[in-house]
Amino acid sequence: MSTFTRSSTSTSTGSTSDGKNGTMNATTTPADRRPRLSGMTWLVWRQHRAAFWTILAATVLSVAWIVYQRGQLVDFLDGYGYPGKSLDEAGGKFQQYNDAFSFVSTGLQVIPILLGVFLGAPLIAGDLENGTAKLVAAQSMSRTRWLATKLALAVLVIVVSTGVLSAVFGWWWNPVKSEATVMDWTSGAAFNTTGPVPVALTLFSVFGGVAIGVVLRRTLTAMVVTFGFTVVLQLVWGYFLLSLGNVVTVTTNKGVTGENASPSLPQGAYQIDQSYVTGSGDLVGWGICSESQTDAARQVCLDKADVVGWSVKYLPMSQMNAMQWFGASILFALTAGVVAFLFFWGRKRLV
Amino acid sequence: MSEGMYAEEPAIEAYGLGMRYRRGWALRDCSFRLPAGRICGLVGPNGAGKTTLLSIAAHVLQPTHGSISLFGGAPGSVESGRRTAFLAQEKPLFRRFTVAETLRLGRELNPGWDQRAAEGIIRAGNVPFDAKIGTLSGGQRTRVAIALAFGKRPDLLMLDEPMSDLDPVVRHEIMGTLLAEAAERGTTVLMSTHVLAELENVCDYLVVVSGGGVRLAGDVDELMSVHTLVTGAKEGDGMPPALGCHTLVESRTSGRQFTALIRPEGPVTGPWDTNAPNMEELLLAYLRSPDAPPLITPTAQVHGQGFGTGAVAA
Amino acid sequence: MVTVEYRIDRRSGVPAFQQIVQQTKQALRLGVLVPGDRLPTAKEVAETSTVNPNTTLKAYRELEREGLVEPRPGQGTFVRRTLGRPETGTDSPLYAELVAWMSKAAGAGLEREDVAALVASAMEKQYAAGNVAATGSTGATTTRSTGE
Repeated sequence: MSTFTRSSTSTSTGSTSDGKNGTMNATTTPADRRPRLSGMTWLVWRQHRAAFWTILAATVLSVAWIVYQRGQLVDFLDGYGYPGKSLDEAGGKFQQYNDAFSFVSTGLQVIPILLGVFLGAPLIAGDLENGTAKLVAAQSMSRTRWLATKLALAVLVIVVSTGVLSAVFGWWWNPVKSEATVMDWTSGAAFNTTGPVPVALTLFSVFGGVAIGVVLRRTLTAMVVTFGFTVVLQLVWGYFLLSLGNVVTVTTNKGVTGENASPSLPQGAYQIDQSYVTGSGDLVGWGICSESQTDAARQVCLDKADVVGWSVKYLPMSQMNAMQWFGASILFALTAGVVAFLFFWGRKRLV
Repeated sequence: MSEGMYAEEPAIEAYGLGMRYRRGWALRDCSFRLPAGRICGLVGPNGAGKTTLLSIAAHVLQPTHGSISLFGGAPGSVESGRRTAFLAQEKPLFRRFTVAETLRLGRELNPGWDQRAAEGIIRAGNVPFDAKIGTLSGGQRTRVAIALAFGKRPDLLMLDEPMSDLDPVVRHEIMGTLLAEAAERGTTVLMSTHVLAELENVCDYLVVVSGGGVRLAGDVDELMSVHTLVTGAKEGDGMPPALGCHTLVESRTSGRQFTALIRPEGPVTGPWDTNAPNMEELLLAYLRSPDAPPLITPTAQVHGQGFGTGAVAA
Repeated sequence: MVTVEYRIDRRSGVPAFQQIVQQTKQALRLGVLVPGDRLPTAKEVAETSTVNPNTTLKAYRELEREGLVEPRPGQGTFVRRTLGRPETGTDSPLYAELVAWMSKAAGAGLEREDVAALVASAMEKQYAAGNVAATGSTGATTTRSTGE
């Protein structure tokens, strides 16, 4: 196949230009340098190569930037004497490293929206709008194959790009992971940019965009609607994020006013709620006696309510990984549902 | 040419084919047969369902009624996908691809690809191989699309209004290329158009669709030979009663004269001038008279699982 | 080598295959085609004149039936014999008689169209039963009418 292809390419170019050596080199050198694409893969890559290369190039640049930033961070931490010395005392000197995190994490969080709008929405809507879906359908390969190749290449590029970024960003963050002042692990800045979450969020955003494009059949409309969809997805995701964990409740019985009355939470724990607990085990709000004017009056009030200690609900940082995988698997399942819809639709009416 | 060898093999058989949308019928009750090796014109007024019919055959649309087979296989089957090529009206191509890349698309996606034939068609129009599709003129783009279709080496080539946006010179040139390729390969061609003059001498088979389904289908020579154009003096207000024993397709009167296209059921005798109609006259008569009894010659009739459309009206 | 190119008149009302037959015969008569010449293939005719290849093949079958051409498998269709006769040459006595008649007509004040009409009607009378369609160029008609 490839011999035939190559020889016929050279005849075609040979007659249009006489520089035979040049054209031969031009056609064979790239084939030797990288795996030669063929068939449907070639077509899909050729059609979307600008988008794919942009994504991969942006990934490489971002990775380089992150690697550089991590080097800077580690140098600073070593010079500073961390973790021996708390970063709280570093003050303004640490600020620039903090800013770098928030800058990059913001960029990473926008990726699902960007790719959903600019890769997902036009991926098939463009072909439906321009009629090139008909062109491809008129060739000998099945349209299911076309659809599968498109989705597979998109998945490949997304997984490679977001997977690498997620890993590198996590690696950068790792030395200061327990510092809530750098990034709170339950915030989108950390939760949505590390582990499997960026991959899953981006995949679902992009495939949602593909499905929207397929239904609307107009690129621009699909991009606008996809933008809305991805933004809503981010909001919903942020809203349910904490529900992904198993809330740990810790209760004390040493009263609520004393020096050591508050329970000690593990480092990096995210406190969800705290309230008073009574002798019978009931929870009451900690505002119950706030009207009392004096400490004594407050104590009387508390005793009257039979408050014996604190009850604190929190998510320990040790759950972060599990929560990310749990959330990601929900997103992967949703993505699989979208893929199933796309293939079902592809059999029904593709062009 | 394969005419003798394959004359009996049907390239297309449509049985009661229909496509109904919420807003109404796009194609209705369409039954015909197209023998292999023919160059067939698909004629009908705008909105008669020509594009719908071709799209169904090309597996772009699923019919809501009836069925169609291509060389005995359903549209979308591997076999028919390989043996047929379809050129949609808008001739979609990837605008950012070069001509050479467009041909590579054909090569990559079609096992039986004929690079030499495709390149020959491109070269005949002096289209540069390294030009981007988006920079080509309409005629050049059509040429590339036709090269892509012929490079596939189809046994059946379906074209939807292939010449619609071309100037007369390019039109002639492309039609010549099309016929020459068909001649060399014995390709069956099904080509829709509403420019009737385009069909004269080009088609040897006709399928006319309009509102109620297939109006006329069959061998051009046969269709022409069974029709007669009668001109004469009016008798009273209408047609001479003596013509009543023939099947009347269309009649028009002007002043004291009448002109009628009839299917003679016996010798046409009377004080009239009789002529053989040309293709344009024949087609116009059928397109203008939706109530005229349809005529489907034996080679164009489908048998078996048909939906009973009354192929030849008595 | 393509020796003739068919000119198909789509408005004439004469079927294309008949036009091909007529034009081939005309070429045979005028000596444009001689025995051994290859007729253009259906593909060539299709390309230059946008005529359905089946139409061309039909015309060639007709010519073959009349014994004028023969198909050689894989090579094409070749001319077997010519239609030219000694009498149709410009050196024949018939031609000289006609030239003389023409100058007489011109002397009598007849216009070109008058002469053509006269020739046509005389031809009609002589060859009424024949199957030759009285079309084509005036020159060709004249040559033919003096031939027999």
